[in-house]
Amino acid sequence: METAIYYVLCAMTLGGALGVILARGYVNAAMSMLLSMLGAAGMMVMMGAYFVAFIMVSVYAGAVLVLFVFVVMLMGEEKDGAGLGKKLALVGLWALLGAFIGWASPEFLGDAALRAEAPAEASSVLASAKNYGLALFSEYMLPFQICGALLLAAMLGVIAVAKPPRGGGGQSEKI
Amino acid sequence: MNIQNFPTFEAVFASAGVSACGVLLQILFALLAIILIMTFAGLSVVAERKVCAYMQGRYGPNRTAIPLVAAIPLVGNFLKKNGLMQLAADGLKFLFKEDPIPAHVRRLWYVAAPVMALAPVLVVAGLVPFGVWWGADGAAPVAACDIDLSLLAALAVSSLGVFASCMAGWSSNSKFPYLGAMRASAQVISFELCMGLSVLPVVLWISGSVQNPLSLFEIGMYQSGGWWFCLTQPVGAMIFLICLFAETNRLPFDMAESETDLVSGYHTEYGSFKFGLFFVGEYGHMAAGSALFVVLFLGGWNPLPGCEWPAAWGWVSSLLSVATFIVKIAAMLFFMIWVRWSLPRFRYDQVMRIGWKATLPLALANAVFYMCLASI
Repeated sequence: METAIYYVLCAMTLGGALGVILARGYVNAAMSMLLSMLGAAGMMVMMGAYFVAFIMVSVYAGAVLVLFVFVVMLMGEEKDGAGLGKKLALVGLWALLGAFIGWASPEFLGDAALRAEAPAEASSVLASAKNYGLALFSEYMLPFQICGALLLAAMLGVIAVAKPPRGGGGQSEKI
Repeated sequence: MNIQNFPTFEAVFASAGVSACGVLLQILFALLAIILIMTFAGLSVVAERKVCAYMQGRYGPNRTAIPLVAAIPLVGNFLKKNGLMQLAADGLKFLFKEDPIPAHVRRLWYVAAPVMALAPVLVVAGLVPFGVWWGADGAAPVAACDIDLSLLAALAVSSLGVFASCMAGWSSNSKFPYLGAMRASAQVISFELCMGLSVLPVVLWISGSVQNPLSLFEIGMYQSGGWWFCLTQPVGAMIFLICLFAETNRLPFDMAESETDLVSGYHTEYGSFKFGLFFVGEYGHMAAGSALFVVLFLGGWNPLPGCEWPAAWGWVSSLLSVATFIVKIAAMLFFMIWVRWSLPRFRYDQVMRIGWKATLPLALANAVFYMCLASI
């Protein structure tokens, strides 16, 4: 039973991921991403990482992806240029990359070590939430801060790009 | 931690002498929870029409009579006068009407959207603890599925409901639904953050004294015999309520289907049973959201602040707790209907301003305030 559920979730995740690249139209791609995320969250639940799974659903699927859909709808559906051949080539490239990582560091795939320590790590929800926070704010403090700064920079960049140029009388003012 | 071995309805049945037979029984419990929420959804449709009628000095639906049932002496007249037969007639009408699919829609998402509207509601229904069961080994929630993270899970799953209105509006491939979908997604993004922030102080407040502060059942249990969170955290409760109205697209915030400017919003192109699914999903969302509000801020299944149904009464106390919970959900639904027929609709820019410039700073300040208070 558990194995069957696992394979269904695998199919959801991989199929969704393939769909993001291969689907025609942005909205279809976004919904494939939703499928992929739900599959990944389901696998996290199976591994006992409930906190991360639900955070993933509520943040990525429930908020970020809604934003994606919103933006895509705002921009309007565009017939994208990339043909099927290019997309398949992209998929092949990613598969090759995955295979290379698997070949170069087999512990990524044969996760026996990871699997052994997972239950101890996530022995209680509160403990796992606490561990999560502690790890984020102690061990991974620097990457966390860098990510924050990056996001802020990206946000400022978007605002700068979206703002019509002041005084210069560019085209955007005439529109 | 894990999804515990369902000590819930099962405990109820086991102590009543019925032997548990695994998966089938769990499906039965899930069905019970869904039936409860769906009953609320159906009855609130009737209540909406009746309350609105009384507020406008009318009688509301009181003529529809199903031939044989209406002939039953007292019951028949009661059902007829209170519009309950109108509910049955409307439901059957949705089932038997022709179900056309317009030629210009994107078929896959057009068909999938109504299902996406209803499914999250049903999942949340399984997570809500409807009462407390006093078994041999202490208190257990009367819930179809008791997980330690039920609050987080309920918020996460119910936030997926917005994809239904997005996809319905987009797949309909026509202007009014499209505008409705845009509004729905923008509105949900704006208010979801505030909803999470308004719940945060509650979780922080109890995290010192209970095992799993993210479990709805423990939040409810914390309030039994003590102050309710609507009294100790009134600002948080108010923000949650505002966000609840916004998330369920109830009237002061029903941007997604404001019928005066968008015909019928995201479900303009829908008819018959597909429209019925949206309709039921919306009212089910209201019922599930009210249940969350009751557990979080209105003391769950406790009758009054500072008093609780005594554990010594055993199953009587449990029955009373479920009854209390149901009465509270009904009261919340009445409140939502009352507000709908009292307040005019906000303009779209007003909704955005309320979301980002009023509710969000207030929610942040509230969270910081209780963080400071809890750490003292």
